Amino acid sequence: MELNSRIYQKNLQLIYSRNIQTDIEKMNDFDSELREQSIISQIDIISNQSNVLIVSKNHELFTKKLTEKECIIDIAKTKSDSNNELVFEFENIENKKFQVILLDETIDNVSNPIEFIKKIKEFLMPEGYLLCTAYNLFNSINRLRFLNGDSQIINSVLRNRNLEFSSLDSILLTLSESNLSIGKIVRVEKEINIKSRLELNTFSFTEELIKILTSDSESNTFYYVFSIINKVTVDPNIRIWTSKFSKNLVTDAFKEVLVDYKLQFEKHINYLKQTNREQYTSMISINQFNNTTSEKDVSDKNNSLEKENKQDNKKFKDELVSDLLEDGSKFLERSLQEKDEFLQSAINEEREHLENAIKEKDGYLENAIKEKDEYLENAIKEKDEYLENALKDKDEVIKAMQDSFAFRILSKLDKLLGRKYKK
Amino acid sequence: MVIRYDKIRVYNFFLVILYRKEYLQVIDFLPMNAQKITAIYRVKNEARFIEQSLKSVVDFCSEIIVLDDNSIDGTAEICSGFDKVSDIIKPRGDDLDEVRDRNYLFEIARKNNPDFILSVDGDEIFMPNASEVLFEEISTIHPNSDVFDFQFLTLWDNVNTIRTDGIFGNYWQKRLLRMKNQPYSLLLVENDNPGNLHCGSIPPDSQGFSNPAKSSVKIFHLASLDEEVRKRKYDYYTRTDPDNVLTGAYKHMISGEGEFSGPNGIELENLPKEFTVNL
Repeated sequence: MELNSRIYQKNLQLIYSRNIQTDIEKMNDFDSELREQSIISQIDIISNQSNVLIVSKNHELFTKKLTEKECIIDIAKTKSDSNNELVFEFENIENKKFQVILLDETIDNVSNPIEFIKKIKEFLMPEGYLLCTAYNLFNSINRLRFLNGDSQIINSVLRNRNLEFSSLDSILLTLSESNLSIGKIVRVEKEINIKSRLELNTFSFTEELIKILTSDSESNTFYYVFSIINKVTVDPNIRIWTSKFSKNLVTDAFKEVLVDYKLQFEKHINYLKQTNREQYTSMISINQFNNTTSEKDVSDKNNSLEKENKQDNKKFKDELVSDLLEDGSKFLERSLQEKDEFLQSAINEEREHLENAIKEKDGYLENAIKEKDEYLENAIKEKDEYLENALKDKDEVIKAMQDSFAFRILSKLDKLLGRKYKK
Repeated sequence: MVIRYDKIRVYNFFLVILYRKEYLQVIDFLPMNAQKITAIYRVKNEARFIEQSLKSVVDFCSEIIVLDDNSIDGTAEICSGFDKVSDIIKPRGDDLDEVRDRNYLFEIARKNNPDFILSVDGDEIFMPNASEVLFEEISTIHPNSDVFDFQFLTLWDNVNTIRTDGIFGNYWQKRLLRMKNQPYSLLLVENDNPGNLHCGSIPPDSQGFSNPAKSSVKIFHLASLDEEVRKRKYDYYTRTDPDNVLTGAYKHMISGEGEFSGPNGIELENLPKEFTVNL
């Protein structure tokens, strides 16, 4: 339970909402900046000296800059019909053909966009194109507003808007139904990151959710500025079939986050299971104590509620015991295995040690024998040399004695005496 | 590199001055399939599906490189029958290592400077007419996206049936990488799985990896088509990777159980005739 509450506190920050009215005003400022960007990118696409027809209620935003580009401009007249819907009159431009037809904020506000495009196509030169802006309903801010159940979104975004041009996929699908394709597309983007929370004043979501939303490449786009060409690039059947599958823009990223969390907490739980065994044992002893006291109460009152309690307790206890037993047996198994491994390693070490000792002893003996042999050899050699020297010395002494004066005199005396002395 | 860039700039400058209108037209009406896509395959004993798989990508790929991990069922021979298969290489070691093999494939594929590298497996078949959708996406709809994410439709029991419950209804993988703006070193990262299984196909350090464009092109995954093959694959995975938490013990591979299956077990959906795979 403690772990659960910690996870909750960490990951689910409270969603709060302040004064919605002031926040939407701020959102409008943010919106006007993006609108300006969309107008600039539309003018950038139109090449100099083009023949342009503007079919938009905002035509005054374009006339000045397009005349600077030396474009020839015509403007379709507008009026609002009884249902407050946009209606254009083309009487003043009949029999004229244009290189570019500018449909700023028009295509997603007319009641039947496909009919409208078919009609307006007739005013195009063979290589001309329609230039449109469409608001991306599924930008990250709107997605967060939908999640928050913000009812203001209906007034601020959805009123008087058709949904055929509300996202990139719906634009592609709608165009392919009328055998048209996108020639070029420019995205008017604004990155919503955690640091610029001011733009998301109403919302305080978790970091993960915003990361997931903004990782979808299309959710940073607020306006699509695109040219429509009279050509089929992809078979409409393929387009219809592939659009049936959800792109799982958020769930796919969410899955990755969840897997990360799962791994993280599984590690944590395993760690707790291994280390906090004392807590388990104290819990079971407390539970046993409670159980014995409740048995006494039951015998006194015979209350059915308490019986249920007892059953619950028993069940809880059983589960706890079985969990503990399982853990205990696992622990035993593990420790037995560890013991076996330790013994094995100890035996191995001992064997190695003995082997090494025997090897060392053999080596030492060998060396000693060698040394002894060498010593004996040397000693014998020395003895021989000494004896030889001694004999030599003896011979020399004898020789020297024989050569000596006294010896010679004595030998002469012997000769003279006739060797009698010798005999 | 600097000299080459300057040359192009000077050349373009004269083109703009001399043939301004024509030049702009050339840019506008460049053939869509001027983009060079190199497909890389890492295969082992894929003889059953490899021919159909290669047939489904030859329309939009200009070069195919195959790494054959010592197949014994004639996979390499089938691959060599395709003109666009420029190279059939062997792994750089005897053991199983998906990361090593895929990095090697990337290294070989980058040598010819392709605009895109597409990573495909031998049991994956692109949907019919994938090329027109793909070229529209890479050149017109998502010209600034570097990584493309594809949804996989898992064929189950029949070639015209797909499984849609659980993970099977929401299975996306990044497979196509735009090589412009990519760093010099692109490497897949090793993981804790034996043989570095499930390492992904696109290096995580590539530009645009965190916000890929979701393609409308669907890829049919045929690894689960036959029950017998499913069981064999399940046995293999559970044997080589017994304690994998990420894959929920692989139970979804053979049944409607496990946390990756849907809450109501196996759910199947029929494919329209024109999108059925011909085997």
